[in-house]
Amino acid sequence: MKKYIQLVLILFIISAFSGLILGVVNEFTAEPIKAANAEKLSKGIKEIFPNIDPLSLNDANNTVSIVDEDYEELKEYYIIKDTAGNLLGYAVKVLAPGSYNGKLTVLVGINTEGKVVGLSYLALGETPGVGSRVEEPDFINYFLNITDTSHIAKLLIDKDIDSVSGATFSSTAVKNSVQSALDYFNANLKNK
Amino acid sequence: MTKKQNLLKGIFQENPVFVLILGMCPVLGVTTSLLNALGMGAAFTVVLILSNILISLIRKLIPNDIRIPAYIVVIATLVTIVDMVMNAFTFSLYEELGIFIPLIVVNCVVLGRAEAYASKNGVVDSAIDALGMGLGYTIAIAIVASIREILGSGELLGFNIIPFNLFEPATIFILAPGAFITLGFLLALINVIVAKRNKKTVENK
Repeated sequence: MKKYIQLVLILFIISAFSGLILGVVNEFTAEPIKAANAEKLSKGIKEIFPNIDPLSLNDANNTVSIVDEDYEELKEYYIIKDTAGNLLGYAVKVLAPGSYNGKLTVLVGINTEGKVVGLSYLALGETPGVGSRVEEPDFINYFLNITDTSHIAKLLIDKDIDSVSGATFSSTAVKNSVQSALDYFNANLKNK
Repeated sequence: MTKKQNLLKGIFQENPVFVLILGMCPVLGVTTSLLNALGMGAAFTVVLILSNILISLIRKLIPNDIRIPAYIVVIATLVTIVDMVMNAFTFSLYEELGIFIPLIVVNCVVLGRAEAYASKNGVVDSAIDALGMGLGYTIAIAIVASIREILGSGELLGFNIIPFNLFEPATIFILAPGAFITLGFLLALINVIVAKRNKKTVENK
């Protein structure tokens, strides 16, 4: 009995020490990680909306969290305005449901008419060379200027989308993300 | 064994990838481009050196019954540190390597060296062993990655290196089967060389 208590104690000490070290490292890396993520986000938004007023991204009022149990995969959206203050559209951040490693995060750009104007990936951990090809323009182009993804669902089933053959999980996850961003737009943002 | 032999054994006689055939998951997974392979090799080597040093330091404090969980905790902590540091300071590389950084935890080379070497040897020797193994691993995946990147995308380190578009890159080399094909041919080549050399030594005797 004494032996087991000793074993548990030693493992406990090692684990506690590890936790302590990780806490210290986290103190140093948390800020740079946050800055890198913010940089990535603003770059992604600028790709979709080149005419955006770059300063408007710093305005906290332009970032709106989405808390809606019907849209659990939607995290937040960003109100996109140009330098004159005109509304260009919205960029919806979606944690794609059913992606291959569970962290595919995509920005879906929707203009004021409800058409998709661009996609940009914030986190893409899909299989290199297979799932990661959802990043290619060939695939993204399928989504441009659409208001509904049902025809893309059909293309995916018929395997008519060459660029992502074999990557059913990733491409379906992206398709579902776009659809749920569009649904949310039509339900909540369209007539604002 | 001298320190030099200790260092070189990880690169040649006991190369973790080509001879021991250990830690194959990232070998197949991240070798789609040379840059990824070098990044992975660097992260892996750092973890391996630190884990060998730490485990060698605490080897006498750890009871035999719980050595494996203790090693795993040490390795997992080191990998998490590398993961956070890379996320903070080498963001684009971190995104490319993605899932393979956390997976260093279960890379059997790291645990294997802890169990087979660091738990029985002093700190300096363990560090040298880790450096040799890390270099051997990095060189091996860099070779696999170079072949795959050249044949699969016609580039090396992102530069187009096919003059006058002599051949069309074969995408299969970037995909998973290409990793197996490349590795299979490389292992065959190495075995041929080793077999020839052994034959020569026998004949000389």
